[in-house]
Amino acid sequence: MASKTKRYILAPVQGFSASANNAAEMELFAHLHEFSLAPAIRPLSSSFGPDIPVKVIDSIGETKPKLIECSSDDLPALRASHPSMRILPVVYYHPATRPRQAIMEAAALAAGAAAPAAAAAAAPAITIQVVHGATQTPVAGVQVVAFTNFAAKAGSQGVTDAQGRVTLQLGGTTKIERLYTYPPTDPGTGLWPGLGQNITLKQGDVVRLLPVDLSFEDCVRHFYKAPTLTEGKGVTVGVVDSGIALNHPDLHVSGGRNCVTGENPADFGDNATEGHGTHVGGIIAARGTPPQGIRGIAPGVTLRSYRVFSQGQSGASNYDIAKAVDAAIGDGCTILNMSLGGPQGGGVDPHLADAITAAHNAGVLVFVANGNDGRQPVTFPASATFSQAISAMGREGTFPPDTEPAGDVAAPFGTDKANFIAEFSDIGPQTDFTGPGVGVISTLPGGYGIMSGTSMATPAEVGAAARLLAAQPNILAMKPDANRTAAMLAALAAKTTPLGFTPTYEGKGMIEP
Amino acid sequence: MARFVLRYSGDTAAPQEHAAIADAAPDLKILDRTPRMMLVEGEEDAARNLAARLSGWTVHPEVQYQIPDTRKHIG
Repeated sequence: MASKTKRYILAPVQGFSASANNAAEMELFAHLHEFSLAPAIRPLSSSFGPDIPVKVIDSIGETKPKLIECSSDDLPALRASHPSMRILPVVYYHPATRPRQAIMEAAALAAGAAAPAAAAAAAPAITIQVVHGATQTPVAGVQVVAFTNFAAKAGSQGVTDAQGRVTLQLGGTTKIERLYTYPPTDPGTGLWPGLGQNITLKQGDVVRLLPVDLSFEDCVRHFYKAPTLTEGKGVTVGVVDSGIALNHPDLHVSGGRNCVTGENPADFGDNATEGHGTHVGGIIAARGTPPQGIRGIAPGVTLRSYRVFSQGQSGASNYDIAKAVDAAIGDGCTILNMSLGGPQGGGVDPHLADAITAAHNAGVLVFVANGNDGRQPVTFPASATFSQAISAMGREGTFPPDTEPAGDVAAPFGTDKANFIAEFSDIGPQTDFTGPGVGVISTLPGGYGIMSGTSMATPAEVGAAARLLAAQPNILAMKPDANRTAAMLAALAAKTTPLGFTPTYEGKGMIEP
Repeated sequence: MARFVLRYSGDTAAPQEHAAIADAAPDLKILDRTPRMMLVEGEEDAARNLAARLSGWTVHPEVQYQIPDTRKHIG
């Protein structure tokens, strides 16, 4: 794929001028200012390969921001080589013209859809049952989604009752393009989510969900094999999420804080909603042994839980997240995992961006999930200047047939054609790393289960980073400031391997085990 | 009524006297505070007025973030 030359603004870490207290930053900005006096493509030093060709088009002043042109493919290397500057997109503003054709098209579509919708509602419904694949017992609480037209997101959905039954209004058709069956995740059922493709449903059909074998080699265990219980020792990881189950036999949570405003700060365990934080924590640091338990990538880390999702609510406030970041800095965390994000087009949230910058300046790496909107731009806060943005990849052969991950296989494929960037993963030039995030086995409250997402790829890379940094005691012993952050990023970049997807999809690649 | 986040941009905790000024701010309810932040509820003008009175503070609306979901849905 051809790289694209784009314009960016290079700005100091904080504020509008390079800091007189930061000699390296002052020197870099003065150097770039000289480039701007005779704009031409010139080499800028890279710590991780050949020099980066950059054209400095303009400079506001010797210590002030620069307007540059460079290839979007070079952004990950530029960010990693010069962490003392922010790389910001150039934003263009336009007259606020009103939309025209779109409104008429939407109205026409709505009118045309009315008649078929009425006919569909009158058609007979189909009831199916979902059972445990080994015991044949009914499974309640399974979210069943039957697509008659997957591209148009048309079909019917429901949740199984105590007998494992769900009734679907399919509008008279029995042909199903995709039938997704998502078992509950709190408590963990130990079942793979199912996927049937191009099937014909009939009254009374039974769907069997496959039990999870905890010794199965999923995509995480394919790339990050057999860690010992001490790997990651010396690194403290904070998980900013829905809390981590404190009583799971495979997990040891050293401490944390519930940062949800109005809730008990000591209640930093799982928020009893979907088990998301418990799954994330297990990918990093679970200490079990298959087949009785599960092992994370860096089980030796000190694991801390910062809960920002309240019980029963799906949103986390930027205030509570920033509070969690501040608390984690104060608690001595080395790496933060944030598997959360805003909506597409949500823009930059200056408050949360400030908190992430503060972490950067306090020697703390912040890994953030790209988002799961399907090849859409990287969402905020992954897109924040000092976030490490993580896309999700998968590998064929690391999930059983007829399970949900089969629906996530999509181009591009890597140099090894079994590897692919997950269909759901958001992508873009802000991407720093890619991680395994398709069909991941991990801990859930009361058991185990499968989840997929950039939410899972992020802790995979956090775990890999913790393993690598644990072997760098000199870096960990540095004063916790931006220089330590830069040293950690340099150490990670030196051990990161491209998988052949191009930087837009994978950043610098996957952190090596 | 809406909720706003105030954040102190200094290198250390905010000065003690700022807390007293915030407590006395009219038409604002302080919902939570840390040494560097406050979550307040009230009208936007009141929140911005408070931030303007406190040197080194920024004010932004409270924003909600989600867990990215990969589950497929109808519609």
